[in-house]
Amino acid sequence: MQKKEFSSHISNQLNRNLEELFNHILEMGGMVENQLDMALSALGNGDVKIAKEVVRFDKVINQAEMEIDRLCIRVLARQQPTASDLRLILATIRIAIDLERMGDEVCKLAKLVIKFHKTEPCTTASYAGYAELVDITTRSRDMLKTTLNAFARVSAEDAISILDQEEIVDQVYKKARKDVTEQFKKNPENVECLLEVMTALRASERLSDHALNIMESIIYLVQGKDVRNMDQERLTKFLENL
Amino acid sequence: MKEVTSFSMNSASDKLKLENEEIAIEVKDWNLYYGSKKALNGVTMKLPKNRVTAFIGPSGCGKSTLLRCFNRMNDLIDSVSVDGDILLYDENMYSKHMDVSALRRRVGMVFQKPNPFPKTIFENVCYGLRLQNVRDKQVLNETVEWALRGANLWEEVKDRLDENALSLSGGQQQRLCIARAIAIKPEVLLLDEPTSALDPISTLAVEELIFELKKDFTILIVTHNMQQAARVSDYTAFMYMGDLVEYTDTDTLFTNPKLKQTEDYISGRYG
Ligand SMILES: Nc1ncnc2c1ncn2[C@@H]1O[C@H](COP(=O)(O)OP(=O)(O)OP(=O)(O)O)[C@@H](O)[C@H]1O
Ligand SMILES: [Mg+2]
Repeated sequence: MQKKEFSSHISNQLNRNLEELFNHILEMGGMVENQLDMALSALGNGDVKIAKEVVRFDKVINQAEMEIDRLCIRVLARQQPTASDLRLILATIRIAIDLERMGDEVCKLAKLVIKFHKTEPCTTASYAGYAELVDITTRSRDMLKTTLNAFARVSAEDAISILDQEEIVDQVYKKARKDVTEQFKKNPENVECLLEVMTALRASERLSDHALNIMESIIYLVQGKDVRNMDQERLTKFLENL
Repeated sequence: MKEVTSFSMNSASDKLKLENEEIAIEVKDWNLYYGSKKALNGVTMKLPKNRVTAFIGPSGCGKSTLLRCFNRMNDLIDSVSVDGDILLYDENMYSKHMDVSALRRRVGMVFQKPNPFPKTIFENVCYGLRLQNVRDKQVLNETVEWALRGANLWEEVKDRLDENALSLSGGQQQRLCIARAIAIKPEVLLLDEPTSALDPISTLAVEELIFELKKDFTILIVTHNMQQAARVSDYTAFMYMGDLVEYTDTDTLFTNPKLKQTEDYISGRYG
């Protein structure tokens, strides 16, 4: 399937609307990507100002989701899309939900920076898992970027390339949890900071889950196949035949 | 406590499968020519009983031609020649021994343009019964009411059954023709664009009627309205230039057709 097929309808109005949907998702995705970049920079430098910016930005992302819903409803009501057009609508609605949730998770990362700034003093020990947090967040951002490009090109092959990253994220996350748990025992006086780190770690791991959901939506769009909740074996088989 | 292990919404996830259906009509390698011009090209398909099967495809692809084959209406056209087999419950429709008027009683047809006879509403509906020499007044009355109710027309005409059918509106005439077709209780009902002349409300009424009627009849419908095919049918056949291109359950055809040609047609793309 190729993107240009979505602009080859006899109805130019439908062509325009579907093009708009693509653009809206890419724009919204770009916002979340940007939000993630800011969060990474806030995490790196402990920059509270940027962190607050990230939190404020969440509103805009929420609006984008509603805007996309509105457009989807309109296309459904007025143009009765079928086949891949219909799948595009459903995929778009789902992707917008995942992007909005990603925005929420990024906010949790930013709030960690704000908290750390307030809670004095956060000792070195309370930074257990912090490097992994940055690592997972960076990987999630890359996964998001990949899926957005895959969506723009309507390519399931491109989308599934994030699966390798997902595996690494899993391992890093497990290690980080272990490290933080150990610090809980060793430095119980840091419990407040460590809890914050744990929350942020979970948020960063959720980011990669949402990127994975977006991948699934793209597969649905391209292949018409719902791969959510497929067990690993069936999924691997399915992806091999892509 | 009962353990919940799976979730299933019947209407949404139970997919129809042709393999599981009882078959009313089977078409085998069916070809039709108008003179030397081939209009149907080796059509092979099984049409399930008590289901609605829709035929879609661009103008001139052979939908009406195929539909007319199912009650041998094409016999009336001199230039037509055919080969292949069409079975109605294992009986060959085109065998020498087939009684064609009996066949047409078993397979009724409603045309695109309503064509009531210039007679009373009552006489229109019991026309087929009179041909069968049914004289019993009570049987006639009951059948007329049943058929008019079935066609969703009874309430509108019950007080004017003696009026000329041509005084009805287009939509009423079309429902009258449906009543006339079902009055003889055929096994199969052929509908060739039955709502193309109707307003949206009458169209929905006829669609609702089709849904009701499939309990008792096997229904084959030709329609240019893709949304209508999607709404009323259980199976959809996409035809192109005399070929049966793709034929599957309607859910699949409208959400994930196999062939690009089908996709382009149903989603209104340049082929
Ligand atoms: N009586 C006839 N004599 C000669 N050719 C015919 C006759 N009826 C139909 N055809 C030709 O056979 C082909 C199929 O016609 P048919 O009426 O079956 O198409 P259709 O799919 O029903 O089209 P539409 O959607 O416009 O009703 C067309 O090329 C048509 O010109
Ligand atoms: Mg026709």
